[in-house]
Amino acid sequence: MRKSIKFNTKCKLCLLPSLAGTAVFFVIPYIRVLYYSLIDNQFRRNFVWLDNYAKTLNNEYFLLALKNSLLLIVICVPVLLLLALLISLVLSFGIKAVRRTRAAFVLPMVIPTASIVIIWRSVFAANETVLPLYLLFVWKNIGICIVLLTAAFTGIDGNIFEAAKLDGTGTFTLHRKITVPMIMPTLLFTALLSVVNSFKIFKESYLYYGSNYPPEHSYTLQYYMNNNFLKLDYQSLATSAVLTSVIVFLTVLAGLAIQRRYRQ
Amino acid sequence: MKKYLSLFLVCVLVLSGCEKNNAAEELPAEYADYFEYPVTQNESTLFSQRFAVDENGGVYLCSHIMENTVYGQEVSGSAMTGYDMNGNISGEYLIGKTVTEFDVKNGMLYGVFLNAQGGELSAVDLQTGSTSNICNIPEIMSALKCEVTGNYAYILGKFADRTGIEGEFSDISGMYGYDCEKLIRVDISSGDIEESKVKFPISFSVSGDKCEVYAADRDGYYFCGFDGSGRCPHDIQAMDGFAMISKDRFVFSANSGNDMRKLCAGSLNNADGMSQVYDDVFISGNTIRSFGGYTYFYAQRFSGNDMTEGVIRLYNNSYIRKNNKIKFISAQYDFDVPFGCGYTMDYRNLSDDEFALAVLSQSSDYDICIVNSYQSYASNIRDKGSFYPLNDVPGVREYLDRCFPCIREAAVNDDGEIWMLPVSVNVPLIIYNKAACEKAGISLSDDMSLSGFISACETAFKNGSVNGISAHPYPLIQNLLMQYLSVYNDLDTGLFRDTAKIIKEKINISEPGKFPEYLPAVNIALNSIGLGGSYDDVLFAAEYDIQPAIYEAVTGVFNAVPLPDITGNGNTATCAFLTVNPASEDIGTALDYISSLCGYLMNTENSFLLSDRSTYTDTECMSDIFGIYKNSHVCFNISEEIIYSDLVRYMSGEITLDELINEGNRKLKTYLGE
Repeated sequence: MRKSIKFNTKCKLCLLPSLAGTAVFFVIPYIRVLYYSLIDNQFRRNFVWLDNYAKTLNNEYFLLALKNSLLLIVICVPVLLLLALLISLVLSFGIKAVRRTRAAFVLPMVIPTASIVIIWRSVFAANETVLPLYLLFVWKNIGICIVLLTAAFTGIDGNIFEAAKLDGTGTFTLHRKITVPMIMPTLLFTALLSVVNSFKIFKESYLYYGSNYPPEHSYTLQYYMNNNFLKLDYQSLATSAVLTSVIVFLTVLAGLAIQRRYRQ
Repeated sequence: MKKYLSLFLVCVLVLSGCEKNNAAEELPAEYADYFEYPVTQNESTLFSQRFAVDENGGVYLCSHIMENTVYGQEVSGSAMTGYDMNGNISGEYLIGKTVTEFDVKNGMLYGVFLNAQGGELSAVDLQTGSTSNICNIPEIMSALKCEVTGNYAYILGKFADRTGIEGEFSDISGMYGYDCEKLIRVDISSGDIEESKVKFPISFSVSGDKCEVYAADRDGYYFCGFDGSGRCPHDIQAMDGFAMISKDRFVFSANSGNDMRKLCAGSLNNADGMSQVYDDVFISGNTIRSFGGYTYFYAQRFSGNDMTEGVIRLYNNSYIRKNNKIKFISAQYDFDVPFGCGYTMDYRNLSDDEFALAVLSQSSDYDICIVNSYQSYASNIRDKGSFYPLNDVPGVREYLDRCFPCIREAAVNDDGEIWMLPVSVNVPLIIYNKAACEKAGISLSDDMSLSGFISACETAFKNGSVNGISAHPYPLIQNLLMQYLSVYNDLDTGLFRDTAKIIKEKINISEPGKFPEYLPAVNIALNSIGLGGSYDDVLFAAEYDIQPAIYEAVTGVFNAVPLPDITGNGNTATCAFLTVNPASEDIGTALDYISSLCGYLMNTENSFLLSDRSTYTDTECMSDIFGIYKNSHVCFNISEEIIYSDLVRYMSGEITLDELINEGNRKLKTYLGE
C-alpha cells in the first residue's frame, strides 16, 4: 500500500510541469476568451451574456464560414482516409518496388507551404472552384495519414493473415474483415487528426488566394476570425473561437465514443 | 557658556555661507516660465545673434555698430544692452572694438576680439569701459563659443594650426565634418592658455566649475571632460550646440533630423531618452546657455516670408518633464510625430498584426497609439471602444472647440465620448500658378470635374517641358475611391462605372507614361522656393500632403483648388490622431501629455486644424486652402484590398468592369457584414 501511495505522489509530481504548462498556455487563456465572449468589450467589460453568441450565430458570414469548414471536413476527410488507407495497404502488402516509394508520400509534409502554393496557382490558374483547396488539403495531409496507418499495419500479427489464408479467405475479404477492423483505433485517430488539420488549412488558403476575402466557396472560419482580429472586434473573434472549439470538441467526443464502442 | 556661544555663531556663519552658495546655483522660480528678450536694431546697429548670461540671470545682448564706408557698411564696434530677469534694461554699454564671442560675469565682459595676428581675450569693465588684455590667442580664425566660470574662460574656435588635420575625420553619414575646431581654457589671472586633449570638439558647456565637451571620433560621438576623461558615448548626430542644465542633463539643438528646429533635452547617459522642449524655431546651437534653472537661446521664427528673432528664456521645470516617458505605437510606416512638449517620446512602429494584437490584448506596454484615418482599423478603435475617453482631460474640449467642425465631429463618437485627439489633418488639393496657367490656356476651378483636371494635365504636357506639373495618379485614384466609399456601399452605380472607365482610359497606373503626371520642371521650381528660384515654371502641382502645400502657400504666388469632387459631398480629409490606451501603466502621464499637447496645438500656426483664420499666414493661397479645409469632411478608410487590388486588375485588362464590380461588391459586403 505504501509503495503505491509513493508511486502515485511521484506520478503527480512528474505530471505537474506539464499540467502547469497546459493550464498557463491553454486553460487560462481559454477561460479568458470565454469571458471576453460574454462581455460587450474588454475595456468597459459589461456582461451581455449570450448576446454575442446570438449575434454571431445569426451572422450570415459566420454561417457561410461554418458551412465551408464543415464541407471541407465532410468531403475531404473521408477521401483523405480512403486514399491513405489504399496507399498504406499497397505500401505494406504490395510488391517491394512499390514499397520503396514510401518516402515520396511524406514529401508534401516537408515542402514549404509557399512553394506548394506557387505550384498550385500555376496548375489551377483557370480553376475557379473550391477543388484546388480540397486537393491541396488532401495532398498536404496524406503523408501523415499514410505514416500512421502503415505503422498500424506493422503492428498486426502476421499469423492472423496466415490463418485466414489457410481458411481460403480472399484478399479483399481479408483486408475488409481483418486488416481494417484491427487498425480501426488508428483509423479513428487519423480521422480525428485530419478533422483538426482541416481547421489549419488557413495558411495554404490565404497564400493561395492572396486575400483576406477569398471566393465564397473558400471562406472558412479562420478567415472570419482573422478578419475580425484585424478589425479589432475581439468579441466576434472570441465568440467564433469558442464555437469552433465546441465543434471540434464534440467531434473528438463522438470519435472517442465510436472508438470505445468499437473496442467493446 | 562662551565656548557654546562661539560654536553656535560659527555654525550660523557656516550655514548662512552655504545658503548663499545654494542661492547662487538656482534662481528664484518666481519669474515668467517663458520670456522673450526684444531684439532691436536700426540702420546703424545689427544684432549679432550673440548674448551672455551673468551670475544673476541677467542677459546681455550684443549688437554690431555699423558704419558707412566707401566699401559699404562695415562693423566698427559692439554695443551691449543688459536686461534683468524681469526684462527691464539694466544698462547699455559701448565696446570700442568688435567682439565675436563673449561672456559676462561680475560686471566684466570677457570677449574674443579678432585681429591681424589672430585674436585676443580681453576683459572689458562694462561700467567704466576700460579694457585689459588677458592673453593673445594666436592662430584663431574665428570664435564659436566663449564661457567663463570661476577663474577660467573656455573658448571654442577654429584655429589655423589645426588645418593640418582638416578633413582627417568626418562621420559616415556626412552629418559632421571636422573644420579646424579646438577648445582652449584661459586662466584669467595669469593669461595662461591650456589646450583641451579632445581632438575633435563639436561644442561645450560649463556648469559650475566643470566643462562638459561634446566631441566625435572614429568610435562615435561622446561627452567628456575638458581633459578628455569621463567619456560617455551619446550619438546625437547633427547636434548644433548644447548647454548643461544640471549635473547630468542638458538641452541641445540639432540642425537636421526629427529634432531639427526644436530645443531638446537629454541626459548624459541617455537613460531617459530625449525629449522635445520647444518647437518651430531655428536655434543657433552655440548660443544656448543655461543658468540657475533657466535656459536661454537665440532663435529665429519664420512666418511666411517674415523672420523674427529673439533671445528666449524658459524655466526648465515648466518645460522639461524629468523621467516622464510616453510610449507610442503606430502601424504606419511613416507618420507625423507630434511634438514632445518636454516629454521623452519612445516610438515603436509595428506591423498591422502586431498593432492589432497590442490593442486587443490590452498591452500595458504602450501609452498612446497614433493612427491615421486612412488606415482600415482607424474607425474600429472608435467602434470597439479601444480608447480612454478624453472628455475630462484639461484643454481637450477647448482645443476641439477651436478646430474645424468636421474635425470636432470626427473626434466625438455617438455616445458623446471624445475618443481621439486629432494632431494633423490632410486634404489633397492642387496648388497652381494662376498667371502661368492662364497663359498656357489651362483652367482650374473649385468645381472642376475629373475629366476637366485630366484635360488640364494633358494640355500642360502638350505645351512643352518648361511647364511644370505634378499629379501622381496613385494618390489621385486612392482619393477618388475614398470619396466614393465615404458615400456609397455599392459599386454598381453609374458614377462608379464612369469613374472606373475614366481611370482605366486616362490615369491607368498599369500603363506607365499614359497619364501626363509629372514634368520635372515643377520640382526644380518648387524646390527653389525661398532660395530665389523662379515660380514661372510651375503650372500646378497636386499636393497630397499638407506640408509642401503650406510651404508653397506662404510664398504668396500661388492659388489653390480642391481635387475633383466626384460625389458632390465635399472634400475628403484624412486625419492623424492619438488615442490613449486605457490599460496604460502610466495613464496619468499620458493624459498630462495630451493636455500639454492641446496647449501646444492651440498655439500652432498654419496647422489646418484650427478654424480661426487669423492663425494662418495672410496670403490668397492660404485663404483658398483655408476654404478647402473648412468645407471638408474626415473620412475613415476601409481596407485597400477591398476594391483597389481588383481595380488594378481591371486597369491591366485582367478583368472586365462587370467582374470588378461583382468582385468588389462581394468583398465590400463581406467586410461590412462580418
